Amino acid sequence: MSILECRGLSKNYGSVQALRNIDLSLESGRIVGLVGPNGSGKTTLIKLAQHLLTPTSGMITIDGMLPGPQTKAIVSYLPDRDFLPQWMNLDQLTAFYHEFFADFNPAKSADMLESLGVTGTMPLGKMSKGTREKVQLIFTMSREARVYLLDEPIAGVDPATRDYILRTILTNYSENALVLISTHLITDVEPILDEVVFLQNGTIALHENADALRERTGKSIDGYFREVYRCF
Amino acid sequence: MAWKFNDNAPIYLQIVNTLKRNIASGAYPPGSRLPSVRDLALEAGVNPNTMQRALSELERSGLVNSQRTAGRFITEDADALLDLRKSMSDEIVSEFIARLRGIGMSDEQILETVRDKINSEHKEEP
Amino acid sequence: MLLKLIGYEMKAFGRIMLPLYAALLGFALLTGLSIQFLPQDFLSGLPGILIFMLYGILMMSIIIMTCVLSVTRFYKNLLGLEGYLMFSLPTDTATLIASKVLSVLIWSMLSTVVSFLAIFLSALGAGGVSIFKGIAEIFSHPELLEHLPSASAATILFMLMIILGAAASIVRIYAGIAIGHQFSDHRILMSIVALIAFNMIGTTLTTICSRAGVYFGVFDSLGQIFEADTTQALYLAQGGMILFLLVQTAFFGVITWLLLDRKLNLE
Repeated sequence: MSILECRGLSKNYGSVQALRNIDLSLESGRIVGLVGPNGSGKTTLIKLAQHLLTPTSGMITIDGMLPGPQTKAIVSYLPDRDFLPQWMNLDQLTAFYHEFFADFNPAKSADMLESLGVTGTMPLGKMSKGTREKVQLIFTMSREARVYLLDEPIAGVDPATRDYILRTILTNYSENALVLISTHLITDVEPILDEVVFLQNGTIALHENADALRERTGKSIDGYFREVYRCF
Repeated sequence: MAWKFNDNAPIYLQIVNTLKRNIASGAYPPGSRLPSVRDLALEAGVNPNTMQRALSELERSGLVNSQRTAGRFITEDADALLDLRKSMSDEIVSEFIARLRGIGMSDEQILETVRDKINSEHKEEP
Repeated sequence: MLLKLIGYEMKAFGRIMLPLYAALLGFALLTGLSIQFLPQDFLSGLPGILIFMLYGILMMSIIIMTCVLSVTRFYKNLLGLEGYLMFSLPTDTATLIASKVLSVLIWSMLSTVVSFLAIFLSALGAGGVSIFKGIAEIFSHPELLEHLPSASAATILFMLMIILGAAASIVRIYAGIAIGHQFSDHRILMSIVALIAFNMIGTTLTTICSRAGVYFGVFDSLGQIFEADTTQALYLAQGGMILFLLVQTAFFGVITWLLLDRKLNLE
């Protein structure tokens, strides 16, 4: 059974149609790239999955449930914003995650924070932007969730940080989880994807196995999209 | 961190080739245990499912044996290893000959060049 | 989950409020002591005046900070960037809103208690042990105790009215902020506009109701009840007020909930 499913899902912002009649079904145990140019509806889809937005029509379900308290308990979400309380230090943040998320594994985050070289008494607000982004990812991936929604995790980072981020995702996601990574930088994530979902103007232009796509077209996914859709 | 991949071939096939090269060169010695799928995937910077697919391919060709609990081991079958080296050198030599023919060398000249090169290297390092 | 959320608000408020409380109580005692021991004339009394001024400023800051935090903890924590975290917790929107309202009530009460405690401390500092003698005096004359307010039903109802009144005004402010947040810019301005609109609508409704009351003779019959039985009339008035505040809290609560649950507009 699919863990994330959209049926006839649409979202309008006033007269702007951000998503139009999306049908999508994603399975557990896969790393899926949600790709497409800016404004194609990637963030809207992720926000709908997390009930930060409500559909204009149609529905989205996670593990058969409409987004709500039960789905949030099994979804670990990384927004593309500085979303952690800046006044908290890492010890307080660890306590917070431990208190609110039953699937949080504090040993995991402690390990990763230690190798990142940050100390527990340091408030988030005092860290550099790059470190804060890594800390956010560490806390997101330290949950043993069934779905990871990662919104633009590698936008605007240097190559070393990008490697760190991809490695952290690969090392830590639970085996049977769905990892949905939205990005407009396909090349960087291409090797770690099982499947790719390509959004264009709020519709799904393509949903295919990543290696099958390369085999079929004889091109990299990035190269294929550049050629066929003339975007990016 | 990651292995380099080119754009034209499926990633799992490129992984298969890299692993074959490592087996032929002895970087993974015969009889040795391969790292786990997850560790190999991390080393290569690829999805574990893709690595799994590449390893299945190697198992099918008999270069790797899977033992249910202990993991995957490089074959100790000397014939299989010889076959691997032969097929890999076949590929390299074909490409090599094609390139030399491409710059106008005759087959005689090619053989002579190779013989001379090998001989001179033996003289340099006796 | 509600208790966990309130616990988290305790920490968020506490890291600002608790140091203020400690400082206020310290300066309250100092003020009292300076009245007792420092000279009171203008020139040499400067240190005493300074301490007294700081005491006053601290008292004001506690009132202001309680109000400011009540608004910013809602605005920044739920509708700002931290909203991405808060709305990702495995709980529903109603619980999130309830945790904010209850926390503000708790901190308002704490601030009130601490302010009274400060006044008591400064009196203690100024009067020394004599204040205890005064208190002991009261208890040694039971007839004086009868003048203190007793824990009658009316008192309890009165307390309930104050708490509900506070809750109603907090939720009304939250509803205003939630409306202001629907706009893509000038959100704070639009929140204030919404609050002014609530006020105008409230005033209009009150005027209409009282006119209607006069017209249908409700006040006359109420007056008759009051003349017949003062206690009963008091209960009736309090009950009516509590009902009115409950309706008001529920009304603004539902507006806030609808906007945050269905029309969330995070940056």
